[in-house]
Amino acid sequence: MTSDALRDIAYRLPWRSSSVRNGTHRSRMTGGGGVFKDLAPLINQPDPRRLALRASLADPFETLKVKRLEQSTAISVYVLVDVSASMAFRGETNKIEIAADLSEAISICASRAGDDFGLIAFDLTLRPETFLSRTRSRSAHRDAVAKLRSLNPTNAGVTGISEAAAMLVGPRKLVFLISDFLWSDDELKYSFADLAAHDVIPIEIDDSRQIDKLPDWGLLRLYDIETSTRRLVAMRPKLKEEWRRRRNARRASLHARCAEAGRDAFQIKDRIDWDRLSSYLMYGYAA
Amino acid sequence: MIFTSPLWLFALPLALLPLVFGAQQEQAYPSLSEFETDPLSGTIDWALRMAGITAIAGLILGNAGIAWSEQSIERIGEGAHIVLLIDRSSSMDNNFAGQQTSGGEESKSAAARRLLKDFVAKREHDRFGVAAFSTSPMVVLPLTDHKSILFAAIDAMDRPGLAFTDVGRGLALAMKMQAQDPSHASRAVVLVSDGAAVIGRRLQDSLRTEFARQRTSLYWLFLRTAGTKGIFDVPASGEEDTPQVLPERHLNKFFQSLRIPYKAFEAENPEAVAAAIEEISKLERMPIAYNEKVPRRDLSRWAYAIAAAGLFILLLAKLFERGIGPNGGRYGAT
Repeated sequence: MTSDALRDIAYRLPWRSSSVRNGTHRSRMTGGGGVFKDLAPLINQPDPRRLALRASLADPFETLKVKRLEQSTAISVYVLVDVSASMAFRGETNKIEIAADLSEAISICASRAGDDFGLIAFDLTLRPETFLSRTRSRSAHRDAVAKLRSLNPTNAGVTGISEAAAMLVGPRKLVFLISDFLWSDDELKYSFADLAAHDVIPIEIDDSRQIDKLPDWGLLRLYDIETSTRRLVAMRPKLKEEWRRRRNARRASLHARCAEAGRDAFQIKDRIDWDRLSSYLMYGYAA
Repeated sequence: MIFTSPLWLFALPLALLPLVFGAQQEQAYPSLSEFETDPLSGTIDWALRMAGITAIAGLILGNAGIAWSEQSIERIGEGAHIVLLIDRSSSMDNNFAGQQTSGGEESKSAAARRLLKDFVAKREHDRFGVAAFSTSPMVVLPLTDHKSILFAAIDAMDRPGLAFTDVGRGLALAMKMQAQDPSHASRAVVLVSDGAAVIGRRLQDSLRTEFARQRTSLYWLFLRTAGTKGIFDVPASGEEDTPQVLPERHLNKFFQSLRIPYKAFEAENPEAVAAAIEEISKLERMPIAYNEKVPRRDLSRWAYAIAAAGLFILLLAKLFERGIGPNGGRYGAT
């Protein structure tokens, strides 16, 4: 994808960071400038420049009060990309391509907001060649995204997410989890448990060729790229409906897990709807 | 089971290939684990593999030239081996009145022919042979159960006959035909004639030996012409009683002296002939076992037909194959 099509996105945190570095996000820290936070006695906060005249006069005990201001801070943004074999499926889109586009947009957005950006690809284990620890270097971001774009998913399994979670030590981070989420319920449960300390934004990449655009009638010999099993399927409307039902059941369990973790999953079907994505990132839900 | 070019059989293990490979293009799909296996799809998969195996095996067996080898089947029937020994002397072409046939009259040979054909048609399990004799005997048809050939052989009696009636050599030939058949069936010779002749002393002895050896029943269907001497006529006293004068009477006496199941029928008209034949068919009801040779049968056309059926099924499956990629395009496995 060229950068022309790459839209500007923004994200907002529904929580306050306790990071000490200056940035653009609301925090629990007080500092030199920004939004009013609270009042404190001058004894505790000996900064007479911020003396709150009205509050001091109104205080029956005649204590001198000082305004405390909220220090906006920077956070770390990580993108975790599932590159297990199932992500190699090419229907309407190339899922890895979509994941790379998203990562690129997020990296630009993060550096514009002054946040660190890190990228971790995982399958059965971590994929060390695309590993990018949090950094503000734009060129490092670009390299990591380029490596992700050229990555060829071959290994099955998603257990590498625990290793990825172990890399995200320290204060709370914003974590984009990009996957097709064709995971078992256990895998979902343990993955979200591993990432519980962070703000996880699950982004599901779906393809209409997986269910919606399957032929109604016909013989399909399908090869499961995740498990390497082969199966002949005599597709008919009844069976297709059954498949759709199962897929929806799995999606429902994904949404249940996401709701437990705090954020609903964002679904990308065939192409990225940047406006919907921005709206989702700003307000927590997609219109 | 034989093969005309058995080297092809080395290729037969190729028939197992459909167990390993499917006939359809494999298409990558992200995850099937969440979908249960569908019984109908499984059945179709299995059936297509079987069709593939049959198609390959059929083609190979067809090329190998599969065939049933020549076989002989033992069959068991009820009936007998009957040699029809038919008089072809010219007198048989006369009617029962001893005159040339004219108009709608039936000659003796025509009546005998018609009735014998009925007889043959009724006796489904018998094997028949046909021999004819006049001046000298000849084999018309060895023992067989092919009725159409028999009918043709009996029809051949129609040809105009010759002058003399050599019963003795005719009988000897009939016995020889019976002797050629090694089975344990009951045997019978049906002698159809309108006269008799003297059998020489030497031939009498040899016939006596033959009949004693083979235990053959003998039926004599005597088509008596009106006014001639019959089999059972006893000459009046004073009349000469020699084979030369009364050959029928003496031939009958000779047959009776053979000590075999023997019966003589004297028929003076077609109805009497029919009654006699009816009686013969009642008498000859014994189970017989006989071998029938079945020639080698080429099965390769069947092998090809089965292969074609398998290929047809595979072709149908191919026509119903669909892709899941854009525009029905297909993707490889990786």
